[in-house]
Amino acid sequence: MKKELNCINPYKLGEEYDYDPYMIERFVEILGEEETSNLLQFNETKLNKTIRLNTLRSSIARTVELLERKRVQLEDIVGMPEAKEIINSPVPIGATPEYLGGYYMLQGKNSMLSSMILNPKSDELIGDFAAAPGGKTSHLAQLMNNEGTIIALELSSNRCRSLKSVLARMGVENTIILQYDTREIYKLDLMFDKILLDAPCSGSGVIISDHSRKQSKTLFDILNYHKYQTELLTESLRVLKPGGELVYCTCSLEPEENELVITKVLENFDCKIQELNIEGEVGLEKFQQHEFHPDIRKAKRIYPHTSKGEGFFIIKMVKEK
Amino acid sequence: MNNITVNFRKATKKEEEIVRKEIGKHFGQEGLDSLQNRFLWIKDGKIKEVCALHPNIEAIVKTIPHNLYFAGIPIGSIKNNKFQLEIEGSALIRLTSKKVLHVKTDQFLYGKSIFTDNVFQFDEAFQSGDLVIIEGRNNIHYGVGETSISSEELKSALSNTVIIKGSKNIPRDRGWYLRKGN
Repeated sequence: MKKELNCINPYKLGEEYDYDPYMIERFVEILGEEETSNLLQFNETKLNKTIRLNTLRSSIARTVELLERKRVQLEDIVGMPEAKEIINSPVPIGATPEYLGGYYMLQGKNSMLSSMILNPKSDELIGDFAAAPGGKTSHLAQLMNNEGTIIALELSSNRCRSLKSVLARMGVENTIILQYDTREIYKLDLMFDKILLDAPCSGSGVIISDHSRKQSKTLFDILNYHKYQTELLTESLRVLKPGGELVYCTCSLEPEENELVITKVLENFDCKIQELNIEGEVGLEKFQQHEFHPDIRKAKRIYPHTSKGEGFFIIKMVKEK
Repeated sequence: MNNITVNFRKATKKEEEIVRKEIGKHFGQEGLDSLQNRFLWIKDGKIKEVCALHPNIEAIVKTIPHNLYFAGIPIGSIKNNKFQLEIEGSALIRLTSKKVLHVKTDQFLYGKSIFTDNVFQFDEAFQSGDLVIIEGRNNIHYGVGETSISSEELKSALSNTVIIKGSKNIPRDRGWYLRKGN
């Protein structure tokens, strides 16, 4: 109670920072007033860029050496040997010859977690359903050492084009890009060992890099995303082999796009939720009128202000045999 | 919403021959070795895009009837029955070929020409009109270019002689990914 009194009023901050008021009410319900204030203040700061070093092109040591020769100051990220934080760079990090050569990719550190959690193997058939712009797809290929097969789905033709470009630059050879609606993936008669579903979302976890999100999405939009995400996850689980694993993630903090999607889908599929050995808060047990599946606690909510990165929701499901 | 028409098919024998002939002409058997254990496929369109597929990828591609946007690695394109080697094709060939021109300028990555003064080393002799792989400092792959003078002429050429003509509109240098990649 004392802490609550000491914190800056999140509603006033929300007004000051131009948030749609409904967002602040929801954040407070999820996080409490003090944490909401911390989140809002953090969203006004600037994140250091992070890069993923691409071992399909060059060893981690060599790329680090090449960047350090350019006086790029890098810092390790705990638990992610291929990830580095850019502390300072006298060169434009998104336009160096090493970048163009695919030696590294600009990618948020928390966005690397989902591929690592999926842990794809080099003899597996992997589905990446909503693949563009390709950061996670190329990370999957890296973890598979360019072996096995990734089926990358993307509905938009423009996004397929940029996905192809990223994969080519990064030297990815084990991927098939389909311009396809994930909701019809069953028509292909393929069964996947593992699936990554980084679902399209309202993006309330990445306001720090997209301030327009403070105003751009309504509650109605969130409910539309919920419907779409539930369909995507349902169809993804249909084509997952028994015993197969699926990682669902979004960069949204909205329970309707995360815990509620999982709870609904678990009504129709026999799946186990796996514990995740990463930093973050547990999934919510309830929100407003919704009560969620008890195993949702095994999911992780990664908040921007506590992780010093983008916000994410991540859960790993194993389909029963 | 689905059933978008993208024709992605195995290269015909004639198309394979066109590709192999061009690579063999410029990079010899070493260049052709880079295609070992890879199959050539074509994405039809305004130009025919050529890509190289590993056997396990090809096996799955064969089972997908439509909507296939791309697979494997793009190595170049066929236009008017001529194969044009592009960025990733040259990166693939670099794995087996030493026909490399080392440059000390990044200008090529902006689609600009390379002058004789910009060259600091070449690993294998070349003739005028040959394709060579271009690498920058620290052996970083920059792309592929066509020489306008031979390696012999390079030794006595004026410093402002163009040796590789740059182009912003052909995917031959890695700057393409910034210029046109998205």
